[in-house]
Amino acid sequence: MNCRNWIVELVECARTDFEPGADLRQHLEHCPPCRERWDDERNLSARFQTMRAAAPARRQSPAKRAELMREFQSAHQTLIPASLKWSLSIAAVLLLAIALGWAWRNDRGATSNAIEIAENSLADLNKGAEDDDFLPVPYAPPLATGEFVRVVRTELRPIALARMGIDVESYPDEIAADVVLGEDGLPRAVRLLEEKQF
Amino acid sequence: MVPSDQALYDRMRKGDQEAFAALYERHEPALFRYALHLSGNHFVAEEVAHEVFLHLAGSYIRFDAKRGSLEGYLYGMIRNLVRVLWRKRAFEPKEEQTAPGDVLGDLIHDERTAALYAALRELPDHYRDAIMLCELEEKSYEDAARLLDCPVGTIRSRVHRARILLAARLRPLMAPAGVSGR
Repeated sequence: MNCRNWIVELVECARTDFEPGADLRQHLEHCPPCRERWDDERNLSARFQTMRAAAPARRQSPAKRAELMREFQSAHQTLIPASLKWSLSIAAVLLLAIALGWAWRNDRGATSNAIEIAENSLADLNKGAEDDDFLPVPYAPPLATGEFVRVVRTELRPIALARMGIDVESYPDEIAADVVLGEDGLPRAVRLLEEKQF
Repeated sequence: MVPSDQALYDRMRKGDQEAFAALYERHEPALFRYALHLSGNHFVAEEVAHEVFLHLAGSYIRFDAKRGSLEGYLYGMIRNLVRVLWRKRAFEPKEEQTAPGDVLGDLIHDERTAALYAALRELPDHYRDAIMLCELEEKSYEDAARLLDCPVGTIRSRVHRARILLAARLRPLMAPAGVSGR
């Protein structure tokens, strides 16, 4: 058995405070390096033992313990059970789906209503124009929904009538007319007036 | 029958304060002692041990029983917190003042014990972790292996090597007068 093997044994003896066996004792007597190591190990073990013995002198702090218990209470009071978490999540998803569906439906209804109103307005305008002898101006941009119009009475020259696509042969001179203007100032319809209306 | 750590932990997670208190009573003294031996500073040890249980009391604990024992997790937290403080140089053990009647505090200021703490701090982390658990916490090689998550033979080897390094550092102080420096 060489010193390397003896050292493993002597370290364990020093750690556990066991007396070395007869073989190890005999080796220590004849091997100064191992004897020196044995002394070092025993000194070290004695120092560790002193440190261990001193440690239990400390007591737990009641204030710190109380703080921990308060912390535990506050952390666990707000915890929601896992089953309830799932239920709340599902309910939230359902509510969100219902709200989105309702919003989508309303939006769609509003859009279709707006389209219907616009169509009706234009139809009314056209109808009104026909009823009141208003002639729609061809290629004029359509009126927007809810757009205000104003009627201006003016005298139109034949060239202006031609630009609006109105046959000017019957009107060689300036003629009085009511012009329907959109908010953009462009004419949408024209009603030619007889002389007597002035 | 004494409930296991895992059983107490499971109860604690469900909001059982008595289970938390039982874990505290069971582990706090050893964790404090471990922190003290690691840091050599009474105040730091108090704070670190307290911090570990504050974390345990909170709702964001990340302990996973599949990866090891609760005890190993707590010891690991102590090691990590002390290392963080070391790196930040948040404390200097030699400057600490001890309270009257503080046996361990007085011992830390003893020249040879202070030298031993200094030598322990200079050990590589894996040697220090092994020797702290086996020598100062009196854990068996098997328990230390479980807490540090490595083979028993590795722990034994680390303890032996650490002891060689410590003995070499302390030899001048331990030897009788006139023999030092041989």
